[in-house]
Amino acid sequence: MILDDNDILRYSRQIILKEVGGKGQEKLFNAKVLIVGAGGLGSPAGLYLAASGIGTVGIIDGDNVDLTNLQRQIIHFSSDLNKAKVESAEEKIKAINPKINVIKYKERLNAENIASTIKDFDFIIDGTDNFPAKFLINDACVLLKKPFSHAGILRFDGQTFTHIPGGACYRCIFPELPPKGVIPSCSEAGILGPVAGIIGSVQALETIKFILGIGNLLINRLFIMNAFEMNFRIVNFKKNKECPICGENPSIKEIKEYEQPVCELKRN
Amino acid sequence: MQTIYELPPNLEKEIIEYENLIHEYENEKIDKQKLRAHRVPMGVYEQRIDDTFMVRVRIPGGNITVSQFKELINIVKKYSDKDLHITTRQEIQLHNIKLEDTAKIMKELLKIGLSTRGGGGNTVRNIIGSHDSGISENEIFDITPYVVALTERMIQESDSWTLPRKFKIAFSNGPDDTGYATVNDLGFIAKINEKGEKGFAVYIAGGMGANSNVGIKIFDFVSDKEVYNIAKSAKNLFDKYGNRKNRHKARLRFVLYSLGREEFIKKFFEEYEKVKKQNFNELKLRDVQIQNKGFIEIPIFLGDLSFENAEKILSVAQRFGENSLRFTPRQNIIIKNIPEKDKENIKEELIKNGLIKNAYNIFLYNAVSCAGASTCRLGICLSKNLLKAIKDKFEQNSLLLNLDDLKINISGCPNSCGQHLLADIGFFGKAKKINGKYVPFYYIVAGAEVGEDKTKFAEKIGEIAALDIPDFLMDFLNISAKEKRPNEKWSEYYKRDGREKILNIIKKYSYMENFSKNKNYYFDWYDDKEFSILNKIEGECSAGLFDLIDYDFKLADQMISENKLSDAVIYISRALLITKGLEIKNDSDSPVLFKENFIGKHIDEKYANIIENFINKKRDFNVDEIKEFYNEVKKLYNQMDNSLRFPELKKDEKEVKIKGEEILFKDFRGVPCPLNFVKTKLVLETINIGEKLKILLDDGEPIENVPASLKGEGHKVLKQTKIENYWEVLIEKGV
Repeated sequence: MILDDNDILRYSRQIILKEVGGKGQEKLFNAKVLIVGAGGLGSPAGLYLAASGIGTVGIIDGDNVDLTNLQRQIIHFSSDLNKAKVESAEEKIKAINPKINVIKYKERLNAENIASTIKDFDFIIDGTDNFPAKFLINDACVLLKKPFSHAGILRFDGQTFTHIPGGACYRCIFPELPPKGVIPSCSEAGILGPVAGIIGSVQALETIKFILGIGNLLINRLFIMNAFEMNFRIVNFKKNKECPICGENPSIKEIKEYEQPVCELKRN
Repeated sequence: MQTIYELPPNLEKEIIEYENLIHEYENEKIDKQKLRAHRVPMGVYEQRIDDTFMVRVRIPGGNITVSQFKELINIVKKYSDKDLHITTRQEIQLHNIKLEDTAKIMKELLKIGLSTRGGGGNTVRNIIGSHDSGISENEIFDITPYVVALTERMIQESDSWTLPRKFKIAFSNGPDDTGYATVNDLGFIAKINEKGEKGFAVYIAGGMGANSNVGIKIFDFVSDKEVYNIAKSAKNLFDKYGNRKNRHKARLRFVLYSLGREEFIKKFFEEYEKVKKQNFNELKLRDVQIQNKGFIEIPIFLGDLSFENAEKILSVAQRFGENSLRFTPRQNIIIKNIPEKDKENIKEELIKNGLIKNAYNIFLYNAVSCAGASTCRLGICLSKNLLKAIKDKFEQNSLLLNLDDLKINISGCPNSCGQHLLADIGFFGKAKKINGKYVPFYYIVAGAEVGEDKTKFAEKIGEIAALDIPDFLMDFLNISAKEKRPNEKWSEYYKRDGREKILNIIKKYSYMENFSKNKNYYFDWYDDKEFSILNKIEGECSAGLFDLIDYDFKLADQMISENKLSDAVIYISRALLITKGLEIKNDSDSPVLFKENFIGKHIDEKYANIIENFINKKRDFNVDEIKEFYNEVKKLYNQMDNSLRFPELKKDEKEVKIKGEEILFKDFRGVPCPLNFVKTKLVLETINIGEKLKILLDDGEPIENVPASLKGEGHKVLKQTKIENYWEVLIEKGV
């Protein structure tokens, strides 16, 4: 990939950084990143990655754009209602940066398709909104030795960390899915858009840094934000010897899906 | 020797440096461009004929002592056979000088207290003043001491030589603004306040030429003690905000246009406050002793002064003391300090000497014309010849008119070098296509008004063939001599009646059939070659041909919209050929000529296909490719500089050799910050540590930032050298 004059202009403000330069820009062009979920987290992450010139962006999401999404999922516009999220996201990414190659998967990630889907990507962004998916991504990435960015958001809170092979994983902190009662009900599960925006942006930043091989990643460090108090902090954690998937005697040896506890309110 | 102004102490050193550069140039150690960069700010211009030079001497307010003038004539005689020339900025120009003599002249001038420094280039130019300052009966006060003192200060400051463009300052001795303070970059009009204190109304950002502007008034009255602070602030403002990249948009008035009036004034006062805090010394005013107010103005036709006449004038002037001479902005000479009782005798003597006449049309001698197409590389019409033709016409008809105060100004092109915007009646040249041929034509302008709070440029009211102008002017002036009331100003007469009269007379000269009957229309005045715009154009001032270029682009645009793509190719390729002085016999030659002169040189090779396609008569163009071609050529046109040169395509080959070592070279002129840094960085990534890269950077922000940033990234900046208005930087890759 040779930077043409427009590329130099477009990316000048990052090429200017000593840590990026032309070579870094080339790395970004050659990178492939998968975004799981084109929602609150995937939106900003996808837009930033496209803008920064990540050569290939994969998006997997089985949903269509719903009116309730628009408050925080900023990659989708009112004109996209009922459109497949992957289509809508692709359009925006191309609009920002026509050179980006977008690979769309209009499906839900599950135990069957995950291995083949993530296989060719260099980095995975977890932008999902439920525990079974987060555990699925963690397990698959650990087993297939793929780096990924985990994140979770709720109300005013957000957290994220980055896993690379050999580093601590999600199960090092949370060995199992939380019991049903602990998962917040829908009435408690509100969110302000910018909370997703901040955490999704941190994920994009981690991705870019990972690809460039620069700076300190959130490895073995959990970034925690409380936007209500405007508190940002880092909690260090360690690889857990007892971790059921990456510990010394792992019990999980294959990718498996866990049941989604269903919201009581939704059932009615 | 008695002198007028004090020269800066380092001038001698600068002259020696300049002389060394001439030697280096002659020994082919430096190229023409490099020499030029130093030559022009030293007041030395190359004339139209290669290897002959013009030297411009700084004469503040046109004031020179008798001894200086005497020596000046002796010096010039040694090195030139050509008349002296008085400029509208009250300087003296020496013509037909050899390059090696220019430095010798400077050294000799140095001995008599004169300098050529700042005679050209992006510098503080000669400061001008009202012609009758110190001798007028009704002036507010004599501004000469200010002109001289400010000159001394300005020429001492090294930043006066490295401005974004030229910077012109003027002083007037009263509200009539006879020194043109309202149309200079900075102008001072003498005033006395109710307390009886001396001061000035101050105008800024005026000027004529591209986007002419009457200056805006920044002080209605300010104490005369502030003159230096104001000039310094205006210079700082210009230095800081002037456009160094595009010399067409560089003069101070363009700073005004880009910032807007309010912001511009705000920025000026920011500078002014800063300057005031620095507590500079006040100007050192010296009184020029003049006992007598009597003076005689000797009209010098076109400002061309023969050695013989110069010596005659000198012999009269020296009787009235050292301070008895002045060159005027209307290119005449004043002998002053003449006691009233001697005035008539002196007049007699001057008449006997043939310097003035008993009765004659002084306004024709006062008339101002630019150099015109005979010597100016951009002129369209032969403006000086036109003025001669007008004078001849009046003389042949023995027509004497009492119109001494009439101001006639002629410019050979739309630039305002002949100051036609200040004319009572004036003309500026153009080329008009009639019956398929170009005819030398002029626009008629009239009705200018100059004065504090009054200055208004002349308006364009008609057009006329060059051939008809002497007749037209005779018709009009015959009428105005009768109808203009005594003491009525020309601008008033123009509004009352003159305008109507001009419009009526023009009608008489607009019969088109003339052009087929009289082939003289196709010849410019006193020129034996048929009028052509092509053989003249090369470029020192600018404009004129721009109309023609714009016209071709307009045609091309129209052809594209009508999908006549083959025609579009013709006009696109023709548009810029004129800048290279290329004669086009028929339209279909232009793509070929364009290819030879532009493609691969100024325009990407890829457009050669379009031309090939045209030449092969295949001509299956597609509209997008032609549009792209059009935009590319137009872009190139916008990058054209004042000398009609285009940026060369960047040469990226390893082509620079320093001590046998091949060095990668990149031209990043015209690349703005921070993109120039980004590009440099990208190139550095392609070479190994320890290898070198040479780049060119613009002056100003780029040179201030890029080398520092490169050092910050761990590279070594080995050398940076200023060349004209850009920099050459040698870098060694460090990391």
